Amino acid sequence: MATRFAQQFRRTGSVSLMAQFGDDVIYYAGGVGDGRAIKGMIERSQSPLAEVGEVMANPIVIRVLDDATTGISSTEIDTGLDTIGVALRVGEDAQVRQITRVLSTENGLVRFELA
Amino acid sequence: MPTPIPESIATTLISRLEVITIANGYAFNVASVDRVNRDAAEWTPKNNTIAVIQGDAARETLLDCPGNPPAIGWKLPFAVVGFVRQSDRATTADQSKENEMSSAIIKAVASVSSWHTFGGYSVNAEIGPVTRLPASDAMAGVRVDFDVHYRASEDDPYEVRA
Repeated sequence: MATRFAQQFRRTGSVSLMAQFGDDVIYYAGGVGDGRAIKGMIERSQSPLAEVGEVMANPIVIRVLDDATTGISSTEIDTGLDTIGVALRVGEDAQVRQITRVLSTENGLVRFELA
Repeated sequence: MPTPIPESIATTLISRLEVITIANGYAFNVASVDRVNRDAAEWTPKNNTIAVIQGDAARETLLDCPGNPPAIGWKLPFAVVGFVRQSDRATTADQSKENEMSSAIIKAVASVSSWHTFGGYSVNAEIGPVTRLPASDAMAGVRVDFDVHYRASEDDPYEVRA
């Protein structure tokens, strides 16, 4: 069961953060279809290029609301198949990137990594 | 402008991997075969993606032949990395999919007649070890190594020598 802080933050804090800092991304459930336009707080350049399976990859971390409509539900996200359309640099066109791992599902936000 | 021999071998390798499809009798359709650049901007490790990594070419003096110019031997390693990403809800073991991936890679590369010549650019080739990617919550897959042996003119790296 979520803590009181988590419940309250989920109702107010996470929504406010997303309104202030959310950027446009597209969530493709299963990696197919037209996708769902949502808002996400994008952490670019947090890590240098990382080796992923012996191949260099460009990791990006994104936080979205834990919501099946306005974000991605923590019970819905699938790190095997789901992809995200996101611009690697501010102002660039979005590219489809693979979700590789979920980093956190606390306090109304789902934080995950792309490669 | 002629194509460097390593480049011709690499593109031949890639074209063979691209035939991994269900229609061609394999267990899956390859999503893409990629050579990843420095910034990794154009690549993402989706399920059934294959990355081709060219290694360091080393001199292989046992393959040298005298002549004018002499022919010098090279060993060119390639690592072919196949990525396996099943749904979080999948019940099949990742290792089962990895076995399918490694077998498909080997068959696709080696089932061509005189496969070891890579279309006439090499004199021999060997299938190296098959290793699973390091344990990680982010990635599963296999790496299949190939060593390709070729000769080139000492003074012209674009000229294949038999």
